[in-house]
Formats: sequence, structure tokens, C-alpha cells
Amino acid sequence: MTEPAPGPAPDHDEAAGVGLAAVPGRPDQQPRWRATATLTRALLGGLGLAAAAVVAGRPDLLVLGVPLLAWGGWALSARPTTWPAPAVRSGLAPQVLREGQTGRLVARVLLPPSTDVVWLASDAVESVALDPAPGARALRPPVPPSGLPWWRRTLAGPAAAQVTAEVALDVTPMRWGQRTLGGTWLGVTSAGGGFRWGPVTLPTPELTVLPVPVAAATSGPAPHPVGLVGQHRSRSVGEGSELAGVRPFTPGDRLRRISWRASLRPEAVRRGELLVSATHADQDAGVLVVVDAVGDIGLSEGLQGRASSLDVTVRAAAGIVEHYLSTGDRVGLQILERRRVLALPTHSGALHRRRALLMLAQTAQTAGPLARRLTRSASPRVTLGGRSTSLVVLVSPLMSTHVLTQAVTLARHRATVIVVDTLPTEVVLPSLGRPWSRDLAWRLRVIEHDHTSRALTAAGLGLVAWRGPGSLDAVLRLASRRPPSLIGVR
Amino acid sequence: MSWRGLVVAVLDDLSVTGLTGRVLRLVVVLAAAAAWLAGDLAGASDSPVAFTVLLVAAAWCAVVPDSQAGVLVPLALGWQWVAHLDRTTSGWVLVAALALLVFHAAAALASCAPTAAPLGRDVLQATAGRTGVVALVTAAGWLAVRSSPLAGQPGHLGLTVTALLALTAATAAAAVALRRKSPSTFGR
Repeated sequence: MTEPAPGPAPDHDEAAGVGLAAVPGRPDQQPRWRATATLTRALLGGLGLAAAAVVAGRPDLLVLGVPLLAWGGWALSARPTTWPAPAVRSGLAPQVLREGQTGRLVARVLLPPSTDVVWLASDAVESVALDPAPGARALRPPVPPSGLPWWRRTLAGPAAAQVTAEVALDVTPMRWGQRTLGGTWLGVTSAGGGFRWGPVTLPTPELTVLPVPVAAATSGPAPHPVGLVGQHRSRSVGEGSELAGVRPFTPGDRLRRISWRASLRPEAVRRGELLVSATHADQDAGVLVVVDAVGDIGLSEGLQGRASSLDVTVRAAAGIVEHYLSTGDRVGLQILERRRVLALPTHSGALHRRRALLMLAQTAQTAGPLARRLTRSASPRVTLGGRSTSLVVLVSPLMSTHVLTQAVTLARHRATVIVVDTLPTEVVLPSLGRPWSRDLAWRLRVIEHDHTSRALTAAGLGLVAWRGPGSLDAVLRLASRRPPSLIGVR
Repeated sequence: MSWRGLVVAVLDDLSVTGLTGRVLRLVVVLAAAAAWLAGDLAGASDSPVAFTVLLVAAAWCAVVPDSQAGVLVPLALGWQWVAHLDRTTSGWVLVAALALLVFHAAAALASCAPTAAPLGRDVLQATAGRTGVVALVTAAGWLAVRSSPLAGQPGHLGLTVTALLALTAATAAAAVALRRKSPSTFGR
């Protein structure tokens, strides 16, 4: 009989792409095989009936005891003689998921001979769906490649030789954020159910859930771009690829810019002018997305159910951030919470996109390494972060007057500010004790919200209600036609 | 754990039991009742106390398959046959033994994994196969007893003592096997 190889196992299984963590604990703390109630029942019941048969001279009692004695004897003989403990590995892959995306919680165990059932169970946690529900799976170990006779497979179980079994649960998070899965256990039962190993407590996996990608689908130009790298055409003439027209040559123009076809036209020849091609400058936009996470209105029912205001806000912000980063713009992100501001400097690229989404996933989370590192100040105040910011998108349910004051202040500092209203049309409100008080509170909220919306529009800020893809288009087109100085100044 | 906590935990467990688990629990109770019924059909007189013990133990075993309450089922059944039936080797003995086997196999299957874990077809098939093998052994035992010339004879003191000694030796061997220490995978 081959014993499992001692020593630490690798922490990463490259073949499966699963980060696997070893079960903690010293070897002498590992669980042992323990007799089950099944074995006790078989032995005590069988031996009791046999003893009664002998004492009372009743062969019929012996017949009654035969099945229990046979089962007990077989289960006893199938007792595994090695422990599977050192080979147990578990992990969640991948550890960063989108809302609604499915990952796998995997436990891999090297089983000794005569094992029959291996199972994995996990406690249910809020906003995470487990499959099979409610979070447990049991399976037979795979049959080893060397063919065993049927009677041996039947009596001793498929793991008549040492075999590696993998048992997994599907994990689908239904809401963005930092999630910790519930307690997870692994257990093994020997052939005939006579002995049980475990349950062993596995390390609790952490899961980062990114907001579901909401396509902004906007094709409108970003207003007043500043940099010189991006995809947006500037209103000024400069280095670029899109033709703006022809103009007379001036000192400093590059020779390759000379348009010989236009310069050889009769009028140009008559005037003695050398003409060069003028192009629109290709510029990028610096976009600052400000997320109002001061409060959360309504209860979240996950991806499939009704959303809270913070759900809509975070998902809309994720859509906006992903849209602008995908077009090559530079995007900064600031999350305004009740007592802190998380700030991600303006940048572009795939790595920045991932960082922004991770930061959004940690909105309203008290812990989290990224949130701790990016916490800027105790005073929730938005800063533009240099001249490069040409557009500020404030994503807010319009309930915090402080945040809205910040928006108006930014607009007065010549920034183009667009406010995305993320208050859901329908929310699930918690009970406030009396049936009428909840409706009354909600009506007051709506009145306050409408009042704020009118005030913002009156202040000249672009305002759009977030209704999913395409919500930004109208406001972006409107804002791009206005000079920045007019925004917010009436 | 208090009684209230225990009841809540048991109800929680039952609420997440799948179809297979529910069927197995039903089989546990029905098989125990069938074993008792076979005794009744063999001519046993009424024994309400033993029947109540058997039924409660079977029900408890169905609700908590990993409990030791199931031991009472074969003992109550043995009491029915010892106290309320004369010596017999009729077919009802085999029926009762097979029903007891089904009760035990269903309880073993229900307790081999957490309540919430659905048992796969391969697990069910394997247990059914093993139960079949044990049923064959049981039938062979019944045939052997039935065809034995000693079956109808009264007990002999020497034979009884020998059988008791053999049983004690078997029990001691089982106890030693249970206490045998698992070899360490770390070479200790």
C-alpha cells in the first residue's frame, strides 16, 4: 500500500490554474478515521442478536443478525489505514469575479484505499449563490485506471488503490463587493460507511466581486480634451491625422506637411504661396468619475433582483470608467464616502481599468487593502487633480447636499460637470415599524430628489438619469458644444 | 446544545434535504416498520412498548441518521422475536432480516454525507450493489439455518458456551481492530 508523500505541497497548481491553499495545522492535529454510527449499529445490533440467539437457543435471531454482522464485518475490514490529510488542497478560482460570473471552489484530496464518498460543504453567505444549492456536493472517487474485478469495486469501493479526487462547488456572486465565503468543510467516508475522516475545516476563501459591466455605449465626443494622445479630435488645429484644410506655409512647418497638389494649383502658383495640410490635433480627454457613496437607499436583492441606489451608482460608474478607458482616455476615480474619500489618480490602460474596478468593488467596505491604501482624507472633498481633467462625471443618487455642493463648486472652477442620477425608480425599503411611515419617507425622499434635480439643472450642470446603456450620449453631446466657462455660470 | 437549539438545527437540516435524502429517510422508517410487520405476520403477539421504541428509534434515525438511536431498532426487533414468538425458521424470518438490512443500508447512505449534499447515481448504485451482496449472504444464512438438523432441537449447554466464547472472541477482535492505530503518513 502506497502512503501519501510527506512534506508540503505546492501552493499553486499551474495545471488547473487554481490557487490552492493547504489545510492549516500540524500533522499531529490532523483528524483520524473515526467509527461512525453505522458501524456501531451494525456491530452492536448484530452481536446483540447473535448473543440472544446463542443464549436463547434461537436460530431465527441469528438470521436476523446476519445482515448486520455481515455489513459490520465488511465495513470493519474496509477500514482505511492511511490518512488523506496531507494531500488536501482547496482554493477558489478565479478569486476576482464579475457579478453573475461563476467560479469554482475546489478541494482536491489524495484518498487512501477503501474510501467511498468524498464530500465538500460550504455555509451559505449573503449575495453568493452556490451550486448545487444549498452548498454541498458528495461524489464517489474516480475508478483508478487499473481495472479491478467487479466484486472488489463493489465491496472495497472505487478507491481500492490510492486515487486523487476533486470535488467542487460552483460559486456565483450576485452583488459587487468584497465577499468572504462561509465555513467550508471536507469529509471522506470509507467503504460501507464504517469510518469517517473529518470534517476538515478548509481555509475560508476571499472573493472580490467587480460590478457587472454596463456598456455606456456613448459615441459622443468628450468635451474640451486637453492631452495630445487620445482618440478625440480637438477643436484646435495641431498635430494629428484628420485633415482640417490647407493653409499657407509658415516658418516651423515640417516639409512633409507641404501639400504639393494644392501648391501647384494655378491660384496658388499665381499668388506664389506654398500650402501645407492642416490637421486637427488628436487629443485625449481626462475624465474624473466621482462616485457618491455617502448613503445607500433601498435594499439590494443582487444581480437578478431590485437594486439599491449604491448598486446602480457603482454599476453606472463601472460602465463609465470602462467606456472611457476603452477609448484610450485617461480616467481618475474618486469615491466619496461618509468619512473618507478614496482617490485613484488619473491614468489609462488595462492595469488602471482593473485597479479602478477593484476600487469600485471596495466601495463602502471598511476593510480591503486597496481601499486602505487609497484612502486620502477624512474630509470628503473632490479635487480636480490638475489641468488635464476636462470632464467630471458625478454619479450620485442626488441625496447628499454636500456632494452636490462639490459638483457646483467644480463647475464654477471651469470644469465640465455632468451629473448622472442613479436613484432607482423602484426600491425595496426596510420596514420602519408602521406601514405608512415607509411610504411617507420614500415620498419625502422623492420630493427632495426632484427639488435637487431642478436646482442642478438651473445651475447649468448636465443632468441625466441613469437608465443603462446610452444614458450619457445626450448630455455628452450637449456639454461638448459648450465652452467650459459657461458651465455652471448663469 | 439545548433541546430547542437541537430541534432548530434538525429542522434546518431537514429543510435543505434533497429528494434523494427525503426518500432515504422515508425508507428508513418504512423498512423498520416492515421488519416489525414481518414478525407480526409470523404470528407475534402485540407488544406496544417494543413497537413504540422501534418506531421512535427509527424516526429519530431518519431525522438524524448519524445518531446512535438506530441501535435500538434491531434490539427492539430481537425482543419481539424472543418474547412474542416461538422458535421458527419460516420465510418471515428472512423477510424481517432483509427489511432490517434495508433499514440499515438506507440509514448508512443518509449519513455518509451532509444532509444538503445530493447523492450521485454512482453512490446509490454502489450501495444497492453491496446491499444485494449482503442480502445474498443473509439468504444463504437463512437457508443454512433452515436446512440444519439442529434448527428444531433445544439448546445444548456445551454448544451454547462454545458459541458464547466464539462471540466474545469475535467482539474482542472487533474492538482490537477498532482501537488499532492508523499508521501515520508522516512516518511517526
